[in-house]
Amino acid sequence: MNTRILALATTALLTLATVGCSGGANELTLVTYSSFPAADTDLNDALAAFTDETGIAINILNAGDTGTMVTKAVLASGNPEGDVMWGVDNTLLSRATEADVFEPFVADAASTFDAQLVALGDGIVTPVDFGDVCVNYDRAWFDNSELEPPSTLDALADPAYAGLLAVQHPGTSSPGLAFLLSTIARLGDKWPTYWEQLVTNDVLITNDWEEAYYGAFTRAGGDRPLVVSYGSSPPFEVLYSDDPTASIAPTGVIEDTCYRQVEFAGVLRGTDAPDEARQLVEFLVSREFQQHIPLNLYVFPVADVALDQVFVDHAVIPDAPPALTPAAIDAGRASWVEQWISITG
Amino acid sequence: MDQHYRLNRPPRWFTTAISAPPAALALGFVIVPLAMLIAQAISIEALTTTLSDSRTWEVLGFTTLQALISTIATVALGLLPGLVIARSDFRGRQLILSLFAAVFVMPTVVMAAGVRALLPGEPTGLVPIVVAHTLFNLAIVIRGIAAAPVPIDAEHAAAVLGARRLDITRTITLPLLRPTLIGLNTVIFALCFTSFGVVRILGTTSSTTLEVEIWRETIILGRIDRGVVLAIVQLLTLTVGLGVWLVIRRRSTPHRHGQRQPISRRGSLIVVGSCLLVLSPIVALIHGSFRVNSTLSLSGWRNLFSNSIRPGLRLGFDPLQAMLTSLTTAAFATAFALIVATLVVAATASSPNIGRIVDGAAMIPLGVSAVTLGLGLLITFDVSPFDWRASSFMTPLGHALIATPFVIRPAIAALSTLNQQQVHAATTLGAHPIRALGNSVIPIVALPLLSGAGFAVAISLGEFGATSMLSRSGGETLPIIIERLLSRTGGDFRARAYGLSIILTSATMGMVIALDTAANRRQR
Repeated sequence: MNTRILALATTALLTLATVGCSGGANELTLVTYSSFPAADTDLNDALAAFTDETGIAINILNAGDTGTMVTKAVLASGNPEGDVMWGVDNTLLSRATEADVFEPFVADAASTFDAQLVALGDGIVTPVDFGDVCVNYDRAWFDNSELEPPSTLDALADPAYAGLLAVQHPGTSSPGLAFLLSTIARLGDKWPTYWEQLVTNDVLITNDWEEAYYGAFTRAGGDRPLVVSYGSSPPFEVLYSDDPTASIAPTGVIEDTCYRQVEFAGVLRGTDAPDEARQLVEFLVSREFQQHIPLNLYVFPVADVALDQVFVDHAVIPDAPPALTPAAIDAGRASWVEQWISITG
Repeated sequence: MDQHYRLNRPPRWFTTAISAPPAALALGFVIVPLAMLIAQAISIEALTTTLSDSRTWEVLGFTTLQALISTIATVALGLLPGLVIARSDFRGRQLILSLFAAVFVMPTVVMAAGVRALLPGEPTGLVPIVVAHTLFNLAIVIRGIAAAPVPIDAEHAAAVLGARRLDITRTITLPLLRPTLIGLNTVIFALCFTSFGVVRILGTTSSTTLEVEIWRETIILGRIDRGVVLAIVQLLTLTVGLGVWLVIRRRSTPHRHGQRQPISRRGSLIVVGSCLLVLSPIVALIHGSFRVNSTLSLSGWRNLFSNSIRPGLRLGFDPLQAMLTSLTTAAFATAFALIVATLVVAATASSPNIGRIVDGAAMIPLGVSAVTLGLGLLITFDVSPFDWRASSFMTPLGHALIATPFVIRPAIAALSTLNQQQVHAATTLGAHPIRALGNSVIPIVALPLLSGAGFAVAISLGEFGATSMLSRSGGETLPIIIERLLSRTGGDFRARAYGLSIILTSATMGMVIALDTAANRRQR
């Protein structure tokens, strides 16, 4: 019932907005990271529906990976490459807001989202999706071993699990940084000791996710049955396998290791179509658009939409994983990474 | 005497006219953007902290060390097969030469995995980096020497007179090839010095290059100011390093490429050996294209050009469209690089001093950090009507700028064999200086230019790193699609990516063979 009212309100708002700015821009540029599909998916179809409804065409501009996109936006602050940015995450948000990349705007629909996620946006940007970086394990490997898969972060430092874990370098890899932040958020000042124990436990460090997941992970033929990946990796292992109806995913997730990454959308300061840009942000958090996020972007919607059964069955979505504020991350990142290097190096 | 020569030279307006376009390109798309970024981002604080940080100098040290070792190893390994191929005629000669160029388009991740498979343990650091650089760049040496004017007739004469093979190589061949070798050394050194992809995967925190460090500071840590300081350090070091090479006199005695001989048994062994070396990563590629989750499967090949995952679930990109984009981009970039290179070579031939400046300017893209240049372009071309930030021509232009030095170097080296006396004689006898120059220069540089164009094709088709800094709306090239397939979880995406790499490799070989055939026809 509530949702129907919301949908009606959104539609009414959109209509009002369209009327309000008739004669405004008829094309908006949406700046995104490189894994956002440029064409030919349900997400793009939804954007086309937005165009049909409002007469505003959407040009998707791929600005590189998230770090590159944010660095460029910082340099172009005030004279942006587009009107709306999709995908700046909580580890990079402070860098962007400090450089005044965004014109503060939060979508009305955000009042119905998880308040914790909305608060991270600090009134400047709107959360659009979230996902978790978690340690995954190879079920087949543990089935054939006498060990049970570890169930806590601490267990990874247990000598019983020596030589089994692969992680990514936090200085070169986004999930690598997220896992370091997970240990900092969970262990506080004791995180250096924990990493010393992981080193003693012969943790393998790779430079990026591919090398760990597709090189070191036992499922890909490597010798590490534990690897830092995503909470959404198991459903995709099922979804893309020969048997998309399998009841058990080939990999599992250790929930206690998860770290939440939240992505935001915002209106870029300097856009010459601020009204239409706000209208687009409202649309990006509408159920119409949000329902297509999981299958196309590998992350979860902030709006209240039903998840595909494969995610219900196989994804691990922790209720309230510990988090650090964007400001704390921005202030600590360089020194944490340097300290991490001195521990593991 | 000198006065007399000057009269025989092409008029000054001609030199200016042909130097202007390459100089303007280097200025507008490299030097100005770089200067703009430096001016906007640099700070005294960043300058002092970065320059007083011992890590900066450690990284510079490692960067130089691995580049030197990689260059020496590559030239040492490539010299012999290059000479054999230059001297001999045999069936499959062009196929082999194109094979070497094809290695160049291997995705870095695949090459790195191949190197890992060749070496014991889980290697990172100096050794795997040098091995990967050597495999990648072997093609430059072998193709470079094969297209160079090797003094076969003089070698033959010496052999008839009883000189030993080794002595002939040492006293006749190598001195005459010196300009070519120096040219190859500079290109390989510059490539290894600014290496990014290979080092990002195979490097460690301490064994890394300035280029990776610039990316880490700028993109990962968001310290653009420090990244800019490192980019300046990189450019200055490389300029000094390359300057030394360029100052070394590259004059060579005029000589001609003699008639190629049938290949000897020992020669064929050398060629086969070097082929096996570069084939190893290709074999790894083929093997990978038939594997899904460590079991044998044809699924990757069946779905190669499909843009869906299963009915109703789509990839969001079209491999076939990307292939076409790659081919048209490569055609544009190659034509562009060929034109610019021809102008630089012509300028050098008509006035060595001006030529040296233009030539140096055209080399800059090799030494400039791609991250820095990408950001520089972003803040330079950001005002209408020059708001070109996501223009569709930026990527092909980027490819062309990177490829141009590869087309220039071998041709400039060949130019050193030009017989100036002959040009002057023709002019004195009444030929127009431009025509006299053209008649003597074109036969010498045509083959190296076209062979270099083959390289430009390979560079453009395989380019991923440098131009990934540029924004774009659609227009993904195949390497970008391959990279995106490789970073997806589950399914047969990896096998598809490997399969597409094989298609890319084959397309490169095809285009290179076509250009090489044209070059050889031109020579006859």
